[in-house]
Amino acid sequence: MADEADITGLLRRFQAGDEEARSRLMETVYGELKQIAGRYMRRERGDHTLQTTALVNEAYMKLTHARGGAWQDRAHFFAVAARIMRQILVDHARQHVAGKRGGGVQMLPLNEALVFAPEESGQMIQLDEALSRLASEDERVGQIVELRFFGGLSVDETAEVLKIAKRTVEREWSFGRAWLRTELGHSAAPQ
Amino acid sequence: MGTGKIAQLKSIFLHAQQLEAHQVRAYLDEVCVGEPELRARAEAMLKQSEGAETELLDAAESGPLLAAGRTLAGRFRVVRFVGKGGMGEVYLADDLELGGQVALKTVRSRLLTGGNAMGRFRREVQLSRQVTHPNICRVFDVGHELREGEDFLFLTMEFLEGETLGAFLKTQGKFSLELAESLLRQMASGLDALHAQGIMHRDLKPANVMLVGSRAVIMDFGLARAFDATNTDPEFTQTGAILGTPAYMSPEQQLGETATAASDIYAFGLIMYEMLLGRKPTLRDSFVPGETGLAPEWERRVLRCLARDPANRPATATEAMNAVFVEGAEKPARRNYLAYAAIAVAAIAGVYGLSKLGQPAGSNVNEEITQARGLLFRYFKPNNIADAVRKLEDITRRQPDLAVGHAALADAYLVQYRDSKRVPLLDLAKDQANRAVQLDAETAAPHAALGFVLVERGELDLAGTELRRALQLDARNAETQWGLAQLYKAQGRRTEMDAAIQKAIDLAPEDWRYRMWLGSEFRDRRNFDAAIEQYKAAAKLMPDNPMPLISLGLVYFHQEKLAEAESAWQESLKIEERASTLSNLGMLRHRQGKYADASAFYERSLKLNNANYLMWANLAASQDVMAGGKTKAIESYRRAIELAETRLAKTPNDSDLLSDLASYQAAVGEKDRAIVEIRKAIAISPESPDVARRAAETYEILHLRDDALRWATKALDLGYSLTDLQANADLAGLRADQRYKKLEAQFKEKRK
Repeated sequence: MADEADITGLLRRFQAGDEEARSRLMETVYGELKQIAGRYMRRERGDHTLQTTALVNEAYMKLTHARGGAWQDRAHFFAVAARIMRQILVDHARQHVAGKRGGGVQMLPLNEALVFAPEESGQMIQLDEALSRLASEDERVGQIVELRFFGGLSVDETAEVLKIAKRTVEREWSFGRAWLRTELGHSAAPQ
Repeated sequence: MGTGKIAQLKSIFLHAQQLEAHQVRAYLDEVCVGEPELRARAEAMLKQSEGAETELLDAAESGPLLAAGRTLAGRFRVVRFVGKGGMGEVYLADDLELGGQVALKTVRSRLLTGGNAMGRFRREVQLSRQVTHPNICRVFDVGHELREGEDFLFLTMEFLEGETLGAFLKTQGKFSLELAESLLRQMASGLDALHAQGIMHRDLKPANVMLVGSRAVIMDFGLARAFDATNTDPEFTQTGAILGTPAYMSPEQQLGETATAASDIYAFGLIMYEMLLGRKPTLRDSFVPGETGLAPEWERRVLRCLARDPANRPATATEAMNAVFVEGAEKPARRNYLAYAAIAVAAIAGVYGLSKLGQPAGSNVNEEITQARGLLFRYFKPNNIADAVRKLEDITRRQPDLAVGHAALADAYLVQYRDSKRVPLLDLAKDQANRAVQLDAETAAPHAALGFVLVERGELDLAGTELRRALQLDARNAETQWGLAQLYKAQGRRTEMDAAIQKAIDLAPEDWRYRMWLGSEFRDRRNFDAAIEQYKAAAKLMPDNPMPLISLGLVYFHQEKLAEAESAWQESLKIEERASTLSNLGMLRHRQGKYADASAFYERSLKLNNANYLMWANLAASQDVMAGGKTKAIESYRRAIELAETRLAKTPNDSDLLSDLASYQAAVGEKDRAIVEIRKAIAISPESPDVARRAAETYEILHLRDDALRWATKALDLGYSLTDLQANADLAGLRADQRYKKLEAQFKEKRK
């Protein structure tokens, strides 16, 4: 596992556009996140919904031992984590639904940041697919939804990471969320 | 969800969110006509987003929050709903305790959730209550209603019955100087009274000024701070409660600095501008003294208020109105004025090219964009287009988050495309315009730029959505009207097209391009007199531009007014010697039967550009009829054929080119090839009068008189001018034919 200096160094290099730093960061963060997520997901029912923000934050604290840390560092860490988080959750959801087909699928609430519960696995996969469809036609909206939803980034952090105006983030997010909600509502309806 | 639908939905969704609740339905009806699925989806999405940043369909469906007769705080009884404002709703209410009526404003408590926002709000109200001035709306009380799940604050203030300045500007346009003077002095007096109490307005704009008869009253002051998004409370910033209006934000406010009285003075200057000219300044407006279009004394007032450095603005609004200004003593260099201009324009365009952490998009960039746009506006000068493109590419590289930069680059690519017809430029233009809209969908320019590109690409539905959005954001933008005119033209909606281009001209009577465009439109409709009027106007507006004169000469030429045509073209040669103008003059001499003169002009023209096949052909035609010119003519035709064939390899389906080529081949005796090419041309464009005319020429040259006659008839039927046919040297033999004479007589009869 990378030590504190390593992670912050990697983050800095990643922000400066170093691709190698990015992949090393991905590896490190992936390992850590997977471990933490696994622990959450193994918990008993009733207690095992997990908030992605909390999870990512935990990973961040653990990897950097940072209390405060530079705000931008944290935002970029979360941005990297968002992609990984999405992957972990979707993988987990795939395993979860593999054994139990059928049964009513409930609407996955699309809030600011994801609160995940394994019984929503079916929706998780649908969400992932819908998000991919959205991103294929509007990359920017796709990115914003991923960062906000899976990474739990705030509007400010998202704006910082993508280097765009806050208002743009707000608008794109409101569109992305509304599109996904209607898209998922639609596909969950009986055929 | 098919390709493109997401983009369309997004445009509709974001637009609808900007509308007042009661406008949403009508908007969806209009924009989704014939597409019930699209409409259903858009509506579902808007419903989904209720309770989020906006309460759109919510309000449309459930009506106002408070019913008439409802009593608040045991004291205020709602009489009726008046309207919706930025913070909440406005009602007329009876004050049961003190009597009389008040305006009651609800404030969504969600806006006040952060930290000590409530405290700040109460303090602002406290301060505001102390201002008593005829041009300031009185603020009375603040209350908190919390029951049955409702949670909102309300504010009572003086009830003003009238129209806001913003509404007036929208419907009536500009003010007379006298009325503007009176209203602005009142506002100045009110604003100074506010400042004297230590209250900054922070959101001064026409929508916040109420006109009650001849009285101007400033409203909604100070409250912006209670919701100030620059506040450090992080929870607060996440509610997205930015209540400032970017278009009227001063440069320092845009930079995130604290607003001061000088920031209000800046906004005051913009209101002055808008009242006098009836519109907000745009990127194309000049802020150079003498070029603003404002009367001189007003210009001084406006420019001082818009000084980039707050310290250079007048200390009070009244001082701004008095414009104590010593000529020469304080005259900034021209460059400084441009900097003011760029900043003013940036404010108007709502450029938020700056983040708290990023590099501010400084005035230099805006100045550069303004300059590049200036080059585009004068695209008729050699290298201007390429220079503008280069500059803007550089700017967008340096400032990748600046929407106006990308919008301007999209425009530049489009102009370059029209000039060069290089299709990939259209893709580049679209990419840039999309990027601009992604970065800033709240101002007109990005949407207008995208609309323009989409019209050119034939994506008319999407173009309509974008242009209407641009219009909604800025109803007085002439460029948007021009874009709409182009859209309507492409859709064959002539009445709407005429109205739109007329609006563009009314909004920007100084823009030569609109006149040119309208002139060409009239010319195509064969309304030559109207075309002449427009071209003349364009020439007057842009005296160093040869293009209007060249077009003007062509119209005269069509009218057989050869002397007028010649003088227009000679005039344009004085501005710039262009190959096409020289060639036109050659054509004119040819028409007059002065073939030696004609070939001299053609040769001059070919010196400037020897790669144009038409000029070689024209030269050949003149040489052909000159004594002993046959050999030379054939040589020239061969050059023309060579060049035309090279071009044909690139555009094999260009029927004009094919039919030209056919007539040249006929002239050099390549009979079979000539017939093949002309048949191809006819197959591609069977209804083109020009192709029909060239078919007549080709067959006549080949001595196929029956075919020549048939195609001459066809050309006339399709609307080709009899005069032009009569003057065609290649058809001289045909015209001597009795059958042609009969045709001519029949045609003249029919025309009557």
